[in-house]
Amino acid sequence: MYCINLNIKNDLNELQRISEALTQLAQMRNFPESLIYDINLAIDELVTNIINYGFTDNREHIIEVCLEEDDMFLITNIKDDGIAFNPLENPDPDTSILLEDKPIGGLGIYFVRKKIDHISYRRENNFNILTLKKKK
Amino acid sequence: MNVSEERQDSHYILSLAGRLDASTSNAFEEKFLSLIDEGETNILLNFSQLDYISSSGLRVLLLGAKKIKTKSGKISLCNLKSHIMEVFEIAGFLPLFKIYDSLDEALKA
Repeated sequence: MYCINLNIKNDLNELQRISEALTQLAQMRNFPESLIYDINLAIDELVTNIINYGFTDNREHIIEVCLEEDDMFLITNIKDDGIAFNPLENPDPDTSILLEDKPIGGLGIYFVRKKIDHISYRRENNFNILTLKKKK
Repeated sequence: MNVSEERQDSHYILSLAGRLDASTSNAFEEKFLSLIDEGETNILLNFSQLDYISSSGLRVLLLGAKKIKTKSGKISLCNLKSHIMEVFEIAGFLPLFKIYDSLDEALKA
């Protein structure tokens, strides 16, 4: 099996590299477009959160994204050295609220939960480590 | 992401191409909200070339929907790819916009 490692800088323009890597993986492994879209959305939302809220200094940080597979799952590990943040503790938004009262934001982590089958979080040596498993 | 603009009858059409994510949503937000500020009340977003949208893109659409409602205007969408439609559904965004299968259908409505 393979493992694709991406070192993403804390710059939103780097999101493009994630989608490029996933497009290549889709071609290599003949994955359906919907699987890649869902994985891309989940990684994109989490990495965007880390870039926007994870760092309290203005220095460059590297977010490690690693893609691998086992028999059943496409597995993504995301590791960052930002402030401790467990997205599993984020409450789900109420998506039934109508226009005027709909809050701006809060949907990203909800998408991750909806699109990914198993999510785990751990804090280890000042790193946040998220593992996402999506059925192939 | 690229955005092209044209006016057709009473509609102001923005055609989006590429990816509407956190890296592109700020530029789109500026264009979209300034159109509403300038008084456009019938904006049609053509998504036929839009490959991807994340919550950052939805955020801008929600801002626009709220803003245009105060001016009694409307935002319509057309040509949503199935995975984009699915994201709208999960987010509970389908009731916020008029959604059409094609540009023709949207223009006739």
